Amino acid sequence: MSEEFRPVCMICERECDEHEGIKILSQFICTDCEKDIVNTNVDDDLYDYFVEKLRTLWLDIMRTDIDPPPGTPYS
Amino acid sequence: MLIPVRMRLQVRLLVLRILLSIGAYPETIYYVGGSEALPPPLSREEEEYLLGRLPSGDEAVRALLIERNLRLVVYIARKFENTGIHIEDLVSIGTIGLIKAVNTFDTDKKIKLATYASRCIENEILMFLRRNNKIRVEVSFDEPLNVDWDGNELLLSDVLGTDGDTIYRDIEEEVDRTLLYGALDKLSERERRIMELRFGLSGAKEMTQKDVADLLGISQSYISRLEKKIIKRLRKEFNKMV
Repeated sequence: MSEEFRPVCMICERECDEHEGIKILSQFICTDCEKDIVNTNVDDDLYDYFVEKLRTLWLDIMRTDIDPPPGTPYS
Repeated sequence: MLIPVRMRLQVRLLVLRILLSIGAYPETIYYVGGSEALPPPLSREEEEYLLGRLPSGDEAVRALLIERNLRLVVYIARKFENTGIHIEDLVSIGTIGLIKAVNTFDTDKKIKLATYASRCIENEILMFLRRNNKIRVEVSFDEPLNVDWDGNELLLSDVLGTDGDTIYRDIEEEVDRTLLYGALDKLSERERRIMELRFGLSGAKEMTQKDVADLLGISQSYISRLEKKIIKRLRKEFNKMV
């Protein structure tokens, strides 16, 4: 019997229950950290930590030119 | 038309859950054989369906709404590339804005998610820039860093700066001087004379209030009051010029 897969939160690096969080691209953010992100403003100490951690989400993406999505104020 | 879209999304949500449960990453769904680095934006029908399920608190719905709006983050972040903040940080900050947008979006309000998210992303970046500007402290180049045994000051400008900076400083001083002489022309003959003597503006050495008072034959306390009034007036003239 194989072990149940437990995703690791990219923010708190904790092994989580697979249903307790969101998957964005190849990363996982647990519900607690998602709530913390929503309730943190730029003046909080935690903010810079979130910015640093979320950079990894974009590592493989930034080399590509991206047009504004259709139906947005920028298209 | 709406039913196939709904079924497709239900299947996608199911696939996402299965992939996660076996340890596979969802990027395999979008990236295989494609040149696109980010998943495509949602169609109107897809977004409508997902927004209908957003209040239920389904993580997979929130994840899809965030993931399919990441292009918006990149596009808005790139507008701020000239602010001195790295693009990697700008997209990270924008992602925080997008996560906040999806979590606080009110489906009852007749506003498009993309419109609301755009505001949140832009606002997040602007708040960050404002914070950074507040942190930045202005320091004078003539700030003394230390004083040696003979009383000579070591200035910030002694340890900083290049030839280029020196040239730039000279230009700034030249502009300041031009502005000052422009403002001095607005003063009366006596007022201008007092300023020239007190601050050595005509090339001579700076004089004390007492010296100027003696030279012009008026009391020192009057010179002091006049000086304050003249400086206030000069400040007004500068503000008009700049």
